[in-house]
Formats: sequence, structure tokens, C-alpha cells
Amino acid sequence: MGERLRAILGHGLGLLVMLPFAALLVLSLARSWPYPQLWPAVWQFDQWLLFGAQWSTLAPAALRSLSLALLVGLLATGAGFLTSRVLARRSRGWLTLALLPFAVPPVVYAVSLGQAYAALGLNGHYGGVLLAQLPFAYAYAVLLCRGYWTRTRLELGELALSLGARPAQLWWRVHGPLARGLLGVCLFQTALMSWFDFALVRFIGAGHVETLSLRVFDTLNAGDLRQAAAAALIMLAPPCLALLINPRLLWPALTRAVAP
Amino acid sequence: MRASSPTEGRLWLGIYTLACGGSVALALLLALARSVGALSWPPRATFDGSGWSTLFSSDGWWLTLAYSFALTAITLCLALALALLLLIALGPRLRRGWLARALFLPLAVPPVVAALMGFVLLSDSGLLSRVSHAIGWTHMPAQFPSLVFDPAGRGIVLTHLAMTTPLFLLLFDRLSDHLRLPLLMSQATALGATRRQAWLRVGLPLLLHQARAVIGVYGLALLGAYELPLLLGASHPSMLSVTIQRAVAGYDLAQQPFGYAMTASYLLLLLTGWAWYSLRLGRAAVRP
Amino acid sequence: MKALALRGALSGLLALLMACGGAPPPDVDPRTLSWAGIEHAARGQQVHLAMWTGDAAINRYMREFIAPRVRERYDIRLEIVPAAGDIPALLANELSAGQPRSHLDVVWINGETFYKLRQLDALFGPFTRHLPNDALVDWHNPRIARDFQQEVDGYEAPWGTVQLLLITDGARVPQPPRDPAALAAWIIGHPGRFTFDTAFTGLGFMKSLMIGLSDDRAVLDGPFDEARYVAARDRLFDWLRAVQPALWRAGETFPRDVAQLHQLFANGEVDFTMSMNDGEVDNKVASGLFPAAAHAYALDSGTLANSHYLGIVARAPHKAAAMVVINELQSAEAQYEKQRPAVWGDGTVLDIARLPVPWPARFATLPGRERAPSREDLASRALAEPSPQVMIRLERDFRARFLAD
Repeated sequence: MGERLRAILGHGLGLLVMLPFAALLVLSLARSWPYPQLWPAVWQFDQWLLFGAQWSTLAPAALRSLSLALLVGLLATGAGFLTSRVLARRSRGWLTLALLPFAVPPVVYAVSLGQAYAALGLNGHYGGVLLAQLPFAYAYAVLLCRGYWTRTRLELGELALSLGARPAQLWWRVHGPLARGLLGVCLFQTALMSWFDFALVRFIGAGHVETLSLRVFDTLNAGDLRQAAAAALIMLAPPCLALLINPRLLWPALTRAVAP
Repeated sequence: MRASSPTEGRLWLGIYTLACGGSVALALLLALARSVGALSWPPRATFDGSGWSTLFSSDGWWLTLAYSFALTAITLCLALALALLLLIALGPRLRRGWLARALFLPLAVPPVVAALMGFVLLSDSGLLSRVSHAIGWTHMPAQFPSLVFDPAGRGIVLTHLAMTTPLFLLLFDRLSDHLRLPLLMSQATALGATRRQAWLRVGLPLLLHQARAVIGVYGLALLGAYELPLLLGASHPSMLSVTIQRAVAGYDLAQQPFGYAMTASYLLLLLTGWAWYSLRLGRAAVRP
Repeated sequence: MKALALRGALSGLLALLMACGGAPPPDVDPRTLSWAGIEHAARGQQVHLAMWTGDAAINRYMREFIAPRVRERYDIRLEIVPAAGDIPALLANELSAGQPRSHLDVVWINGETFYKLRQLDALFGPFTRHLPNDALVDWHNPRIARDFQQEVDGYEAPWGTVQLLLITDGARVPQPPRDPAALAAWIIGHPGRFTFDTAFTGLGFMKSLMIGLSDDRAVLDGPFDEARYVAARDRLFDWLRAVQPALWRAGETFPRDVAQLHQLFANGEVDFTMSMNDGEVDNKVASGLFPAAAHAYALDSGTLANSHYLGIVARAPHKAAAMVVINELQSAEAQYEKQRPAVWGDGTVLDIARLPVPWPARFATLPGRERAPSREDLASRALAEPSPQVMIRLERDFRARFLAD
């Protein structure tokens, strides 16, 4: 294919990818956008100002999303990293267990286990949502971190210990610096899983744990697409920021395993 | 001295097994129990087989299963085909300029936002319909092809396609690099293959084989999708997660045993698939 | 050593998770207390109110008027919990799990939801006569005293009154159809421009037609009667079958709820929407969602009118605070604010004549609706809600006949 045509196709593809984001932005600034107009008939900033007026409800939702995401990320990354090390010394078959949470849709998980969470008094609570999100994030972290534990790194650890390093020094001075990049990616991606989650928040949280994803859904359900568009753009902010810093932060775990 | 004691190793294995396997096993047990009326409210004196008899006798479950598999297969095939075509067409351009970053954007979109985007673009009065009106192809919303709330699920397929194609495109691009595909392809052509043959006999099989795990996992994610089918799908038929959630948590409590029977069946199906895959992996590992 | 530390960390995590559930409150039946005692017991408590959050105007009223009000007056934190038709399933789940305390305190309910919750024994009561503002409720109005033909028996407190109205754009539909036959003719003459949702509002529309297509407005009154239901249902389904090919999307699919139907109307994809909130058209036009020429009306054959209520969950942890919140929602100030067309436009449940001065005058001079008939005009076309079994059966039968292949 000629280089010129390739360039046109490339730019066209890029514009197509950007189109939905642009549409959301325009919608979030519209007051009236009747069919068949291509641009809003009347513009307004009310959707964003409303967020200012409703900051008392939106801020807690955003903070709740953020705290949940950070907690899930930290716990899953830490546990995943340590677990993957144990799995590195075992047969590959053990890794297939980590695929199970991915196979089960969160909604199915929530409706089946909802009663167990209710019995423990965890439904409708922040802790319940955290517990529900952890298996998915943890399994993901195990798969992602497994790639770190090559034979060389395992032997490096043994060597460090044989030279007198204490276990704490091994983690702090050897594996920590080596795995820093991977752990950063893992933390970001597992946190993002929580940030994006809707089904578990909705059904285990039972409407009590209001996160941004729930706000987007509720405003969409309330029929005000303009408000939903504004909420959606706020929700997209962290991953889009990551994109500016390093696109690879968004690169999923399994894809790393097959295409490092 | 080892970095971790055998006890610690067993503890992590225990946590791992419980978190990944135990939670799914518990989900299955509870779904089975609720499907026969156990643990329900008001409490029942006898088991209730109505859920399972409805599952096997009515079309509802089989239709939703077939519908979900069909939409998933169509989405995957289209996404893979489109990704491969774009890889061939764009080649090294994928890693240059703003396109290289822009392709990561869809990875940053959660399903609920994707559903909103899908609605804004694809609905009868959405952006595409307005463009169609502007260029004179249609004159009213009803003339635009029904892409959302459509029993054929076109809106669901198109929106999922928009989300997954960039991922596969990026994956194939990196795999192509990792497998040194250009070198293999040039060797194939040097040995007499046409470019088309080189792609069909060398490039394509290699890429698909190497990406099979990712394809499988994303296929499962599409199969169990909830937000997109809920917000863009028709009232009937509906995909698995939506059908199950409606039956279990809807206001008609009489539907609950049926809902849990569907849940248990789906979990059994997934576990069977997972067991088969694990066995295959185990056999491949011991093969000389 | 590490294993011990790990076990300790896990125990700590579990403790943190359980702690997030909060300590169960003391078990005191607030009905044994005086109202002052109830208000005192309610101070510092949090009330979780489960309600449909599909209307931004209602959400705003609750979050920006009611919540700050109960916080300031009674030191009660009101949390709105989005819930719709799944309230019975949520509570049944809690009960079957043996959860000693519900995570909900107050539920916004009526009709078939109230029926199901009574069946599940999931409601606290009777409690309404303990509320000071209960004396101001218009209990002589049969529409308030009976909920879908059921005696409320003090298990739910009246909150508002509504009537189903069709909403259309005067610019697109200058002569809206006024009875079922004319509506059918209009639908057939304008293919793809009419539909209804498959949730509460759409079912209300269908029930209105069931009664409207009969000669007898009381055809579905009283306890559920299979023969009368089947006859009315068949008349409705005949009507639906006649218009189905001309409905939006040829009647192969329907909006899942009224919010989705409103979107279709706002986007110009259909020419009608409908609402169980007869005051909704005014606030939707004011917010720019509906076109300026939108207006609401009732069919001459009548549309359903009902009341909506607030119940207290049987295992609610904060019953005293729940009673205080409900009493506040029934207050003249809250009812007046709710009835303002610019706020919500919901009808009051209070007997205006019995309100203390100056409330009767204030209610009388409340700004009228600009785009919907007055409540007095609508009264002659108000149909009584049939028993909840009608709705449960209709929903099932409609799905089986029109949504399944």
C-alpha cells in the first residue's frame, strides 16, 4: 500500500478512535441538541457547574472510588507479587487457577455470593465491595507478576541470601528495585480494575457504596445524557492521564505474557 | 536460607486457591442451593425443582446462551479480522506519531462509559444518524438502521468491536515484533510463497496461535458482559449476565429459582471449560 | 515468623472489613416512646432510604432540600440508596441470609412492591399513627387510604399522589388522540412514533388501557379475579396486537424503563412519552430535556391514579430516625416544596383544609402547572389502581406473549 494511503488510513483510524471522546465532550457542554443538528443548538456549562453544586455528593463518590482503587491495588499487587513467587517454583498448572476469576462475570459472582456477603454483614458495605473486588484484582496481579520470576531472578535471590542478606533486605534491596516498574504497572492496573468496576459495586454494595461508575450509570439511567457524559469524562481522567505518562500502563496483563 | 519458609509458601498457596478457586466453588454451591429453593425466603419445607424444569423445558435459557455465544463469536471474528487487516495495511505506522498513543485510548474506557459512547454514536438520533441525515441518506431517525435496542444486538457488537479491535491490533503488532514476523514472512516469500500465502500460511497462524490465551480470555469477558448489553441491548433476547440478573434480582421473586439454575449452569459450563483447558495445558507440559 | 505476620495481617484485614459493617444498634421499638423520645433517639443516626433514582428532579429534591433539612433539624444523615424493582429481592436476600440488621431503613414503595414486602414480612409496623403529621394526611381519600386495593394498615406512610399522563410535543402532534381507539388509529397512521416501556410506567399505561377498553371503570376493582383479569388482558392484547407492527421498532423491542422512553422522546425518535408523575413535563421542559412545546394530558377513557408511600424495613437498624424522616417528608413544608412544578410537581397527601395557617393559602396559590392539566381537571379521568396481582400477572403475560419468540 502506498505510503500516502497508509498515512490517510492511519490518521483516519486515529480520528475514529477519538470520535467517541469528542462526542462525550460536546454532549457534556450541550443544553439542547435536537435531531438532526450536528452541533448543539444551545450550549451550557451547567453540567459541569452542577457538579460544582453537587460537589457534596460527587466528591465523596470520587474519593470512595479512589480509596477503594488504591486499597485494592495495594493489596492485590502485594499479595500477587508474593504469590507469584511461590507459584514460580511450581508447575504451570497452578497458574490456570488464576484464570478462573476472569472466566466468571462479576454479575454472576455477585448474584451467587450475595447471600454469603449478606450473612457476613458485608453487603452494602465498603468492606464487602473491597473483598468482592480482590479476587479479580489478585488473580490479575498473580498473572502479571508471574512474568517477573524468571529462573535468573529466583537464583539471584538465593545468591543474595547465601551471601548473608536477610529476607527483608532481599525484598527491599534486590527484588524491590528490579520489580519497581512492573509493580507500578500492576498497582495501576489493579487499581483501575476497581475504579472501573460497576457490577460488584452495584450488587454487593447494594447502592450504599456510591462510586463514580455508579454515578455514571445512575445519571445515564435518569435519562440525562448530558450529565452522564460529564460524569463519564471525570471517570476517564485517570486512565487518560496514564496514557499521557506512559501508554504501557494500560497494557493488560495477559498480553504482556504473550507479547512482552 | 530461603526467602520464604515452606509454611509461608503453603499459606500463600492456600490464599491463592481460596481466592481464585474457593470463591468460584462457593458461588456454584450457593447457586445450586438457591436453585432448588434452599436458603430462600420465606423458607421452604421441600425442595423446589421448578427452576431446573423451567431451565430445561423453556426456550429462555437456551436462547440466551445461543444469543450470547453468537454475539461473542461474531465480535471476536470481526475484531480479529479487522485487527489483522489494519496490521497488514498500516504496518510500522502503528508505532509512529499520535496514532501510537491514540490506539491505547479504548483500553482506558470502562464498559459503562463505552455503553454511553455507543448510545451517543449509534442510536437512531445519534451522531452517525445525524451525519446520515446531513448527507441526505436518511430524513428521520426511524430510517436509520436500528443499531441500539436491537434484537440482533448490532449495537452491542459494534461497541464491543470498537473496544477490542485496538487491543488486538496492538497485541498483533507487538507479537509480530516479538516473533520477528517480517523476517519469517520474507523467508517465506524468498522460498516462493506469494505475499498472500505468506500471511495465510505463516503470519496468521502464528499470530493467532500465540494470542490464543488472550483471545480466549477476552472471549469469556465478552460472553459475560453486563453493562453494554443492559444499556444498549433489546428487552429480548438478552445476554447471559442481563438475563441472570433480571431473574435473580428482579421484582418477580418466583423467577429466582430459575435465575439461580441459570447461574449454576453457567458456572458449571465455565468450570468444565476451565478444567479442559487446564488438562490440556498439563498434557502439553509433559509432552516431550 | 513471616507466616505469623501474614496471619496477623489477614486477621487485621478481616477485622477491618467487619468493622466497616458498623456496630449493630440497640434494639428499641420506637413505638414505645413518645415523639420527643423518638426524636431524641434519632439524633446522630444515619437513615438509608432506598428509592428509584431515575429522575434527576426527584434526586435533587431529596439531596438538596430534604437531606440538609433533616440534618439541620434532627441531626440525621440521610443517605439515598438507588433501588427500583429489586427492593423485594434485596430484602429477601437479607432475610434468607439471616442478617440481623438490614442495610436499609426506609423504602419508597407502593402497589406490588408493598404487596410482596408484606408477603415476605419484611416491613415494620404498624407505625404511621405514631407520626404527628399522620393527623394531617387525607385518609378519607380512598386513593390514599388504599394502595392498589390493599389496606395499608399503618405499614406504609403516604408520601405523594400521581396520575399517569401521556406527554407529547404540541409542535409534532397538534391533535393528540384522546381515547384508545383514536390512539390506535394514530399509532397505525404514524408507524414507529409510539412506544411504551416494560417497567412500572409502561405497565401502568397498559393497565389504564385494560380498564379504558372496558365499559366498566370498576372492572378490575376489588380482590384479584382470574376471569375478569383474563378478559381485560385479552382485550388489551387484542389492541396491542393490532398496533404492534406500527409501534417503534415494529414492537419487537420496548424501552426497558421510562427514563429510556424519555430519551427517545427528547431525541425526537418517538412523539410520545408518558409519566406516572403528572408534574414531570414542566420540570423536564425547564431543564431543557423536553422540547418547549411538550405538554401532558390524560386519555378521556381515564388513566391510573395512585399514591406512593414510604415503608420502614422490619430489620431496619434506625427505626426511630426512619420515623422522623418520614414524618418530615409528610410535613407541610416538605409537601409544599415537593408539589412545586419547578421542583418535582408531585401531589400532596395532606388534607389542605386541616393544615395550620398559612399553609392552606400557600397551597392554594402554588404556581400552577403550565403544561399539564390541573389536578381538578384530571380527577374525573382518574382510574383506581387494580390489585397488585394484576400487575404481576400482566408483566409475566406481556413478556410471554410479546417479548418471547
